[in-house]
Amino acid sequence: MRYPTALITLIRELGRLPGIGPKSAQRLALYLFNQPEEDVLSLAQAIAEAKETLQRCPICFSIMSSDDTRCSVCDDPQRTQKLLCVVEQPADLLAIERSGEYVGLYHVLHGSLSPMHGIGPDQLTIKPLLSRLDGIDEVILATSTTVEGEATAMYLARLLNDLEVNTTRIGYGLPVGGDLEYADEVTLGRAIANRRQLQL
Amino acid sequence: MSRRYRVRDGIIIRRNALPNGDIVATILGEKGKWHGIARKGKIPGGNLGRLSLFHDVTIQYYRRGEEALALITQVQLNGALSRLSQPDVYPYAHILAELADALSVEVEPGGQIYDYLASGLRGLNQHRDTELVALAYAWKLTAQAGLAPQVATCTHCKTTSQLAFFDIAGGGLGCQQCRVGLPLLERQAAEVQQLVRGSVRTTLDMRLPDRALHWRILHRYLAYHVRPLKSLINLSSLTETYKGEASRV
Repeated sequence: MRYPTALITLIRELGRLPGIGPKSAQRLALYLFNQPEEDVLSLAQAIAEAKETLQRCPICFSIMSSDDTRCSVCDDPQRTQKLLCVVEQPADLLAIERSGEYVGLYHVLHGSLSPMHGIGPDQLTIKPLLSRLDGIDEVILATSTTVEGEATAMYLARLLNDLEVNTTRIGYGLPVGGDLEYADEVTLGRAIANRRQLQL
Repeated sequence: MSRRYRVRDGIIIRRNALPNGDIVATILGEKGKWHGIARKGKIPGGNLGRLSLFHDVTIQYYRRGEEALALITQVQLNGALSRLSQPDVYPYAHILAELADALSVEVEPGGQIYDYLASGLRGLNQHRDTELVALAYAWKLTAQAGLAPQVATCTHCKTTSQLAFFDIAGGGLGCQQCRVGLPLLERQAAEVQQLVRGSVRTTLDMRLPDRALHWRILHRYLAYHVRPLKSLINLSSLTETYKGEASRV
């Protein structure tokens, strides 16, 4: 049996989404076909509207509505203006916000250095970062603890040290509630190397 | 254990994290390279947290039939080189890994590319002159794939004397009479011979003053005979010595 052209197109488009293989794309397409028309239209409208009305904040490069001039974090005078946290992706920013432990500003790089993927310093928002350091007392490098994230942090640390900016790196260690026995060797090694004095 | 489960050793030479948390990794081992997917491999801790770039690992995977991607189920770390993420080492590690990826195939009987990549990454981790290590091992890897330039004689007339050109398309050194390619000093031609044919130990004792020239030759040779390497194109923005020379490549 040959599928109708519209169904094939929908499966192909859904299959282009990350993590969606051909079988999942087919299942999703058939699921959408069985949904009420208003639900499907609402989904389509939400996708189109998000694409149309969302853009990057011109200061921190996080996501904001195109109606605003800056994102909610940059616009919040209650936040500590002298503390800047550098993250790879907007999702990392949201994760730190969920922790409730940080009240400073952010800067989103939109990736990490990976020469073999063609990502060098010019492909990241490093130049805008260096141009917004006036009045910043501390830059926290919160890139991932992967080799790529680590290399990006070290590259930035070198640039920031040249500019005499106080630079720190997020702590390494074991996940809360985890057993030592099940920790991987690299994490455990870093946790030992970066141990700290217990304040009693 | 089911025969669908297999165990292989190798070095992670490419790692792509997908937005849904999966990781697609390319692993180079003694028997060639292969690709695998680690479901939710981005989640910190656990076995799959060891699946980092340049790590030497033993992987248990599951493959059904002729599926292109093996499903990675367990990862054991055999060795991690801590210096490879430092700014003066990282771009060179990428060059060696990308070159090994470009040169290796799914089935490789000898495993020499794996051996040279492992040795090159260890060299980058230990040696002070990481740029020289990267140049030496890039040529060694190219040679292991059977793509080394001809440096003993002129590629055109086969004479062994007065070699003073590097002919990219011809695939090696050229002489004063044939005059084809990039002009070199006699010393620079000898350095090319040493980089391509000499032992790594003696190469690492060289001073090699004209490094920008040697990167240019390597870059152009690989672009013509293998494929353009993104990590070589990006080298200019990440290192100082290559700066200013890259635009001439």
